[in-house]
Amino acid sequence: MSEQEFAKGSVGISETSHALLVSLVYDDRKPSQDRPFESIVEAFRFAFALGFSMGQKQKREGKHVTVAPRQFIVTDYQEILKEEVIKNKQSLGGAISEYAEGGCSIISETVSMGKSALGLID
Amino acid sequence: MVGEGEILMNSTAYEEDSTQEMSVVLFAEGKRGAIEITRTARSITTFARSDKEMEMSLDVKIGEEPIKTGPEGQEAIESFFPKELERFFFIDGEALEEYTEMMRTSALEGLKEEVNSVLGIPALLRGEEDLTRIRRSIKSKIDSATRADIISSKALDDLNRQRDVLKSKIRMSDGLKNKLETVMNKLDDTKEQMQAHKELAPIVEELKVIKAQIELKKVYLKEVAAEKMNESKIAWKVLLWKKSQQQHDALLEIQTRANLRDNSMQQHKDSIRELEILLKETGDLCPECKQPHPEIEKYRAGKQQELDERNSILARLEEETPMSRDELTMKLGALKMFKPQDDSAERILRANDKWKKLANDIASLEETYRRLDAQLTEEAKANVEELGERKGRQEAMVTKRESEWRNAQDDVNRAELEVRRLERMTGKSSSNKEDHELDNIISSLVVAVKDTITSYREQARKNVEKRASEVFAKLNNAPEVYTGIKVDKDFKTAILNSNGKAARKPSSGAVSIMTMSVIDALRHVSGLDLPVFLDTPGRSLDEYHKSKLLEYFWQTEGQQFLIFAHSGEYAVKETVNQFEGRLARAYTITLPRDHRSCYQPKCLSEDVEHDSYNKKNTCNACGFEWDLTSQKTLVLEVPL
Repeated sequence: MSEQEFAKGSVGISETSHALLVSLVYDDRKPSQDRPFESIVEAFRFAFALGFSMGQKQKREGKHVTVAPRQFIVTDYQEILKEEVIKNKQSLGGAISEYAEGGCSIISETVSMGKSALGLID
Repeated sequence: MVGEGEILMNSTAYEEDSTQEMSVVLFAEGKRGAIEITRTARSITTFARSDKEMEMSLDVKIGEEPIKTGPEGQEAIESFFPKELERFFFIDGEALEEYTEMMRTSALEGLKEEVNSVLGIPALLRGEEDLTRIRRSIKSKIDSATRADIISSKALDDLNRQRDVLKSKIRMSDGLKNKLETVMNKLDDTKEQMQAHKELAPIVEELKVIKAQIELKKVYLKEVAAEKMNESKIAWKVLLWKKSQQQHDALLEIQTRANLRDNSMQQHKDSIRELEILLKETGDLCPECKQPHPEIEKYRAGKQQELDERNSILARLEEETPMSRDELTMKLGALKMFKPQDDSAERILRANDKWKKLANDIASLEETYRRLDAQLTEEAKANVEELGERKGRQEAMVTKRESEWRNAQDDVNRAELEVRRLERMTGKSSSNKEDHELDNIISSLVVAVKDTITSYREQARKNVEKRASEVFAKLNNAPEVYTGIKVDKDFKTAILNSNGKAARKPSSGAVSIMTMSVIDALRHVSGLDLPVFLDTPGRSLDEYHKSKLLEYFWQTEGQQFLIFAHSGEYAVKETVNQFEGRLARAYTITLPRDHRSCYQPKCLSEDVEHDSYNKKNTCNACGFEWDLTSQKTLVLEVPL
């Protein structure tokens, strides 16, 4: 199966999710806040993984914010997504973004309950 | 009184006293009145055999003064008659040669003290010695002071500088002490003010503790948050792996099966090749023993069947077309990227829990802090906090000031030690103007005394020489040969001849007369008005000189002169007759056996009967009897 069988696409999330992810990025001035990720890409990667593992995809709504492509290489995940993207005729980035959006939704819900984002891996 | 087997105690005491005792009483007249000197010797044993067994006592009565005894009595005697002078007033004729020898030779040194005494010099000498001693003491003090002055001069400069340093240090120390006291006073004020808020103090104190705990935990929280962040870097893998692990395991299964198929195909290929070789090479003979075998055909048929089966299986295996090995490897590799370590999830969760617990602790403390903080009004809190901070600042300042003051005190102590050291160096100078003036005065006095002594001795020497020469000229029997006496500065004497030079070998009589002349001159020059006692004066003199001697000494004016002569020197009767007009008293000392006539003063009869058998004489005129064996001395006055 060659790469021509699906489009790589780009990754991005809604502003709301972006804001959520930003709130999860580590800030040494706010150690008491639950900010477990070193960067927004790391937070995005966690949100994608969470959405993927939970099988929760969600369409982006409103404006979206692009995630830096150099730091998040979509092809690293093609092995687990290609059948799906081929089947759905979707770009790899698009699928990842939907999963990330879904993950953000889960995180948001979790955080809103006062729970830790990292607790979701359990 | 007693000794060498001789009995010197008078016979009465010796014979009659149970405890032998004898006294000599001397009466005299002096400027201070009548003098009565009593010396008593008392035996302390039944029969004393040495002076050690005699007890001596002395009683002296001078004028109206109380009687003095013992050493005090001796002192009283010496107050008008120095002991050193006895040689010049108690002249022993038997020892005249000794005097002569002392005056003629260097042995005069032995006479020097006496000469000085006669001349009244000892007082001056003692005065000079005293002055010299005093001056030496002052001089020593001045010399020491002068040496010390040199040292102390520099030390004084240093001392003045050091005193300035000390003053400066003391000022600094005082200043720091004042500052310390000021801060301590302020601290006391602060503590008093804090007393007004003492009910709030525990809360404030707890708040401070909680705040400190929060601060501490927050620092730790940063570390824990960073640790959580590091651990969470692979949290996405944990999530992805949950889902991709199945896919990965399936591919792994495929890979395992592919590996098994390859192995199986290879085994089949190897078996087919062996079977084909076997069938080709095997004819009618057994392939094992190479001998004809009845079952060989059956054997070959079986091998052919086995070959066919293997070919069939191989064909079937080859017909299976799984993904290529490379593709499988790539897929597995891609999926393995998502595989976390076995304990990754556990570590992430543990770090997260740690952070969460700490964050909760902090939140709890902050909540407590807020609750306590709410109990304080802003004003009270501000006051208490301000007072607390102020107290802390002031306590720190007190500590600082105390340290500064202690250091300053140490500086002061060191400076004081240095000042004291320099003071000791400068303090060695104790000279003053009075010392120098006193030294000058004493120096002048010493010089004056020395000059006086020298002058007096010289004058005395001249007077002695003149007087002795005059006396000598009167007494010696060859005035044309022996013209005078020379007395040198050491009071050594020599008889001068007609040429004015020392006579080489003067006669012994001339020498004796010279000695008597010099002694008389010394006594005369001394000015002491005391009687002269001359014991056996004519012992070494010829008749001429003996006569001249009495002629000179027994003059109608001058000192009282007592001569104790024995019968061989001077005949009593002739002598008394010759000098009758110059004599005050004359006595004879005899024993009873010496008298052939009655010696009773009122009798004096020569009509005496001698009893040789009974050894006694009896005066027929008065009937007086005397024992010729008696040792009792008789002192009889010679009528003049």
